[in-house]
Amino acid sequence: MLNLMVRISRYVIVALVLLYTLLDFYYFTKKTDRGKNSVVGVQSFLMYVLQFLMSVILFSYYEDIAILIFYVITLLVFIIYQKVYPAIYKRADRHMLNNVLFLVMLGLTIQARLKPNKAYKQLILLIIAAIVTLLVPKILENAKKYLYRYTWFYGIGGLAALTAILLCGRTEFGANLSFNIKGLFSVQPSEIVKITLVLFVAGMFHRSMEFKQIVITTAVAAAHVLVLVASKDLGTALIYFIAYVFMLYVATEQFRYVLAGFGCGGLAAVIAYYLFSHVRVRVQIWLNPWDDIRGGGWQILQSLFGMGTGGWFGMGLTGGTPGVIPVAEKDFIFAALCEELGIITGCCILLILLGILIRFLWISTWMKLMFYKITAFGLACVFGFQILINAAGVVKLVPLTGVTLPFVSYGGSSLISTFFIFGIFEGLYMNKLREDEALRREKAELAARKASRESAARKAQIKMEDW
Amino acid sequence: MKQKKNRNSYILGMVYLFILLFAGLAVYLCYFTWKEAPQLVNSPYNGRLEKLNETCIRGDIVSADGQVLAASKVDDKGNEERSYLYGAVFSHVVGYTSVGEAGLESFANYYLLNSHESAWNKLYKELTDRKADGDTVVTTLDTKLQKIVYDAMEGYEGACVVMEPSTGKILAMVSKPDFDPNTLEEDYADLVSDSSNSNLVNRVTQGLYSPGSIFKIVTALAYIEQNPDDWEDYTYNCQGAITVDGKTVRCAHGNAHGKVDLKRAFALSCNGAFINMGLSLDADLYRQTAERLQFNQKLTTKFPVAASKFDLNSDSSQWSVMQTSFGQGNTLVTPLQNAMIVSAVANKGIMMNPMLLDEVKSTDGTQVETFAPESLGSVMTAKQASIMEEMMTEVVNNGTAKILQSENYQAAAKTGSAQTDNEKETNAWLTAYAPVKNPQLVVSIVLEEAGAGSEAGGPIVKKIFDAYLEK
Repeated sequence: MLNLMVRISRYVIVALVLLYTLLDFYYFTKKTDRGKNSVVGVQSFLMYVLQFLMSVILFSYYEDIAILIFYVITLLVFIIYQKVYPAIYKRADRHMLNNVLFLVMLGLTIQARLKPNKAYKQLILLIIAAIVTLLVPKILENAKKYLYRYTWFYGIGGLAALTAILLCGRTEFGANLSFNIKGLFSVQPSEIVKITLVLFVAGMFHRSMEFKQIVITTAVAAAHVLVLVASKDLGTALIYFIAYVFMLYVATEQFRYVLAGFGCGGLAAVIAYYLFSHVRVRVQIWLNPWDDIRGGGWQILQSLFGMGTGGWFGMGLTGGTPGVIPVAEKDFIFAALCEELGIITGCCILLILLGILIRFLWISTWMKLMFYKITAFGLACVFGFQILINAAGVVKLVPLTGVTLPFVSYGGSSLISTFFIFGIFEGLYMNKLREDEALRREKAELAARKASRESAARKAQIKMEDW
Repeated sequence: MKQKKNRNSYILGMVYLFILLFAGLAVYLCYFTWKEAPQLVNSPYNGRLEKLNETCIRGDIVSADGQVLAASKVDDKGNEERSYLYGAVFSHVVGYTSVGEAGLESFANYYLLNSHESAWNKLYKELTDRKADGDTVVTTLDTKLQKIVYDAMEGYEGACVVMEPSTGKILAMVSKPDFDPNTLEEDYADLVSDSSNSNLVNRVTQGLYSPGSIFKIVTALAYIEQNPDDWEDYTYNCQGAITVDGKTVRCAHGNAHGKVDLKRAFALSCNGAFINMGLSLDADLYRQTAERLQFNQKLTTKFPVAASKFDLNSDSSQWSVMQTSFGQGNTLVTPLQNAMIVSAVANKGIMMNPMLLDEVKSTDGTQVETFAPESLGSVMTAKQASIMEEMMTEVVNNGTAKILQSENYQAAAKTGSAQTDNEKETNAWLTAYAPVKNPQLVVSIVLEEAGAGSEAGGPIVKKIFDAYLEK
């Protein structure tokens, strides 16, 4: 009976996800607030139906009351968050909020399917992340005139945190990544430094675009990357690097910086290949995973087996064996999702992420102040390239570098930093709306004053005529 | 007036870049699922295939002429039973799925365990809690030919493969000794405890044999390549044995062939002439020729094939060069590899990738996938191929394979009798194709400890040609 349910549910799940994704783009054709809100409402509904359906399957599979409790708490968190956020921020972008919750919901469900205990931990972190995101726009609103004054604090603080990790961090999957706090939570500073690096670069370019300033900024950014490479955190190093090159490009408006950047980057990659054995190992596994199928090649091959065997519609939730992929809940969450929910769902997730990313970039075009423009653009790049590097690695299009999929992967630091970025964009979006409204009000007032003056003049004229 | 570009237009450019990258990723994901996954997931390391079997009845394997080679039946209790209607005739090539997996049952696993019945059928079956029917795999095998080969090899140990040179389609593949897949589970313990016979090994694809004189095809080709203008002037005076630096190699039966040119030396399989030629060759170029013919290469066939071996280089000793030149030494070859080389000669120098799968169909007849012949490229020029063809024709007309002469067709061939480690009887090799004008069949056969190639293999190959080319 369960088997039957799992088999049929895959088509329903794919249909729901597909419909959600279509609505996501249909949203942009709506011009009025009412139209937009109705699309968002339908999307919310679809999300809750999907969550209910998947939770029922998980519950029947594990027959564990913990799954049920997990579902109820998650549901409550979502509903409260969806009510509270727009209540506090009446200008909030509910469409973006919805998409974030949708991805988090898929991530949490797959984590509950893989490791129910860990999913609880992630849920707690989600609540923390959600609260952080509630605070960020407030801070941004009140401190928008000061934030770009702390440029060097961002730069030096970030670099110091990364160096500390390099020297005394905990080794995890061959890389120095995190601090462990009382064995409960481990903190991965490179996730947070993603944001401080962007703030630093934006602050530097905000102050001046002279060549000397560019050189100093590049040196500090390069130091970030080098420390990460030394810590063997190659994926994050790559994200920092690419994001910086494009920030430089947009700030200077000169394409030659992109060429120079990727030229140097390519050269550095070749040097790193010969210098560091861990870089060579990654490349070897990428080229020939079959050579060491029981060792280094196991992870990527199991990932490919999972996605390949699942096919378009997946093997059905609980129908596959995504648990055999090492760290499926983290770097390989995309493969686990595709294996059970289908490649179509995988493509839809990419599209939804792309939708959020375009929204981010769009918001950056609204910014007038260089600091906020570059911050928004840089964070969008960090977000976008992290998705690309993760998903392309999982499908063996590029070598594995060990980065998470934003909003979906397990991992507190990743979740909080992604939510932080999301909060910044909500804040910038609302700031912009607020400014627009103020501008509109000003214009309206001006027009009103002009109109009253005119009518007064006209009245005076009439009086004169009467007289 | 020239307007300066707005900074936002650069960001817009980045939007396009991201759309392009994401779309590329999604397209690749779809390409992977559509094209690459079906072959990739067919791995013993992929435990998910067993899960597929929970929802799907294993499909049939059928021959090119429509005969069912393997089929599954489900009894009232829902137990699935696999039966092989031809028993041991197709044992290695079709393989088994009872004690592990081998043969087509292994590398076509994914197709057999996936169903492309109509969506309604599938849904109906799911609702009534029945398994869907797995797809049917249509092979390139010809039952009639397979039976002829199988019966002709009665009493021998060895391997034989029959291929269509223009496409690489394998029409028959027999390895002896064999096993009955229907009773394999019961026989398994006995079969694996008998270490001398290795019944389960498919000798066509996994058997690495010393090639003996059939390797003279490679040596002759290397000689022609390295002496493009004057190979026709080559002569050697055979006294029945050749001695270089105190080491002596005899010709078969100690026959003195007298004065021979390349063509004559090839037809009579004169060891002395080939050693003499081999010593004159540039070893690195010789190796390149062999590697172009896929020695030392992992083949890209859809089924696993052992890599043939050639280990000469410029540092090799004179003795290894001498031995390698006439097919002994450390050179090892699979019967399939041999068929590929001869196919290239028959096919004007173009080598085709051997194929066993023709198409995959759903049980309601819709086509799921078809497999097109794949070229491995030109491994010798058309001119060289025609020279080799001329020499191989001479082997039939005036050389060691006169047994293949027929009024109905002209065959081309090369024989070999390879010494084995135990110094008893030699392994008999014969590789041939026919008709020369319009090649339809390539046969590569090795019979273990059966003596001379033409005597043991000749009648079998003749039978194959006679049966197939009469049509």
